[in-house]
Amino acid sequence: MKNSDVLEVEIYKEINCSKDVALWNYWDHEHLDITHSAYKESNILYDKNNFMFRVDNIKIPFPFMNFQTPLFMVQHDEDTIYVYAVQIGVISKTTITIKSLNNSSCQIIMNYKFYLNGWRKILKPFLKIMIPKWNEKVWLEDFPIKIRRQKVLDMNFKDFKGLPEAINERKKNKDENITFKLPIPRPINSSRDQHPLALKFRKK
Amino acid sequence: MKKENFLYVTSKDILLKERYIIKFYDELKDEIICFLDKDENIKIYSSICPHFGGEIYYDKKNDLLRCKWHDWKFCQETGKCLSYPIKLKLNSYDFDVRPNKLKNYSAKLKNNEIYLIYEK
Repeated sequence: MKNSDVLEVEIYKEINCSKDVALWNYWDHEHLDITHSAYKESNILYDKNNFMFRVDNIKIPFPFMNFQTPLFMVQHDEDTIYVYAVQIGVISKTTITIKSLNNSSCQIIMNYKFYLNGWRKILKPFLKIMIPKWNEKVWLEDFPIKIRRQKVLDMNFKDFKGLPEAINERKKNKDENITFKLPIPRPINSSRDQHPLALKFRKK
Repeated sequence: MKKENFLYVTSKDILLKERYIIKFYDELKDEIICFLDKDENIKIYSSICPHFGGEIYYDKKNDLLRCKWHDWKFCQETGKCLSYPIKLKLNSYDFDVRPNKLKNYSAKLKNNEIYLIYEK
């Protein structure tokens, strides 16, 4: 196993949303096949506390073709998410580091590493071009979600409840921080829990 | 005594053309969707999905409201969530609902223009 077999791509972004909103967006698995055009299906097989195992069906730019990607994701510490995946036989590790710039903006560093040993080496020039393109596409699709999420939370929005009834309560208390907690709640029999091998033990 | 205030939403002509419009009102601190259902009845709801805050739009083909983020479906008659058996509901601004049950909101059609009424 050689380090020279690893293709590394790193992308920096900044956005006007809190770090907690950015983290929420990564852990909100229910939006994947709705808002991202490249996702055909996404099924959670197991998730608990700070980790999750998911199988995604990704569309590729050839008619009627897609591939399955098993994916393990962990909130390693409060700033770092690791994602290990296998795509068309290639193992990848994505490190997402989210740093708070202030209460309403953050920096996101996405570091992609692909292990391209043996025949997989031929994929290097293709992946080198495709990864930034893929990243930009997903970034643009997620961008309005993060901005809106920040806006509604600033109006004191509560998940599974909505806005407060009284208009004068529709503003965030200055002392109250947005708190991101895992796992993100989802309803019983959520569209993410339909895989026959999914472990269904969640109550919300 | 509370004072009634009027907020211009849109005209029926625009609604007939566009089918639905979405607007944010700073006065309400809410974003609303005003639409014409398949029977051409005007309805107004909050367009902030109570699930996670996604944007609600009107699905004309299926005559229901849907969330752009997670595709949750809501009844266009009642605002009730159709995707899961939970109590979540879209806040209604529809004048067809009894005014006293609307808390402080109601909506009406006046000279072909749609105004949302709220009380301060």
